[in-house]
Amino acid sequence: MEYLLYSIIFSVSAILVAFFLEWFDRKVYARIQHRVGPKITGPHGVLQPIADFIKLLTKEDCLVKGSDTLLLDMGPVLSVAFVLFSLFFIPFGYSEGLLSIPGDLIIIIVLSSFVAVMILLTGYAQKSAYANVGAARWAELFISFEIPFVISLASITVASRSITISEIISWQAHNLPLIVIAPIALVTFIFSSLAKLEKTPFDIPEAETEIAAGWMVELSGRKLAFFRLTKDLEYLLLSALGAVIFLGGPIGPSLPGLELIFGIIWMAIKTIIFALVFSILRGLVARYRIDQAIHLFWHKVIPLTFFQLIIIVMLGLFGFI
Amino acid sequence: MQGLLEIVLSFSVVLILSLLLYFLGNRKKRETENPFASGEKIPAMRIQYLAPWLFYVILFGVIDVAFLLIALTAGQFTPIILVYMIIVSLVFIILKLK
Repeated sequence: MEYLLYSIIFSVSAILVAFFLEWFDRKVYARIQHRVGPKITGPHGVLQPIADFIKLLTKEDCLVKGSDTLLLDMGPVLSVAFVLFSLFFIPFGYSEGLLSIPGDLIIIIVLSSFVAVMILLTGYAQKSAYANVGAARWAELFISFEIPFVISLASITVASRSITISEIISWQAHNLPLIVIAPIALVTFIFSSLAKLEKTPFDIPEAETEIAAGWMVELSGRKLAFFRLTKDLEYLLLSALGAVIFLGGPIGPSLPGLELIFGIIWMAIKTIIFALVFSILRGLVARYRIDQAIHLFWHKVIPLTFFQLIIIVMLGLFGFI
Repeated sequence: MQGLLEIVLSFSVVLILSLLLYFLGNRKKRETENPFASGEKIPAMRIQYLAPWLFYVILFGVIDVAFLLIALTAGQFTPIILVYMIIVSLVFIILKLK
């Protein structure tokens, strides 16, 4: 019963933090473009993402005749559920998440792939050329960024000799943060995460100026609200995952008896750092074409991730780590 | 470390929460004849996908399920995974040959 209560509180808090991160992203992006960003709803506009979500929930659901309604209803709900569930494995204060099982890093990878498949199916379910093109682009991008994403995480698991998040954190507490040992994996992780989040320069599947909003073009009302929430939750998940596997998550100097509070503070700071990096990159670079993005991943990012993996294996073989 | 009960319970909580939020939204549906087309006259239609891309994406998804099974069995290569991998491989070989 107690666990059930914790789960509900955690889920609601995660959604609220995801909204906060969306506001943060919009503010940073606006500042880069010499704009103010959201400023009306709540102090400094911090409640704007919540207001947007509620507004979309109350809007009418408009669909093109002939679209697959079952897939279009299933997609948004399952996407939010998968990402929210992944967040249960991320430690936000203690060295273990609300859920911690052996191999939980793999579960996060798998669930994030399921979300990608949901997006693909949603694009395909709509009877619209723009949505179909967006979904096809997403499929092409997915098979390009998923491999470096997994291999960059594989470098981390080889270095820390574990596929369990709590053990990776504990390894970093006794050794060095993995950002020092695997800097190339960090770069490739950031590239793949930007593609996973469909942020510029990899916002190709929903490129507004080319294909309207791509796979989201026909979505409205609660479906659009849910997919936007999915993206916010993914933003939180990938920022927090980066903070945990490269910077040690909640590890940091603390006072005796206040370990939990300091853990939360350190985790928040590190998560914000990753979120900031994603937002700044989004604001500074222009969109790639789909062929350029695929070329970049297959010809540059994937070889780099393998190079990093080889370095880590060599370091391990010669006893440096 | 938690067990299977907590995993099922957590996923049930997030699924029920998502469903509740989804059904809280406006359920009024409207169907239109024409899709959004930026002012162009594009009819409501599905375009043809390049089949190999979809094939590879589904392959990724299926391999991910295998990873999930391996993760849930704490890294041990159990007979269930072996059977799953054999069935999946056979299905894909048959599909590819077709």
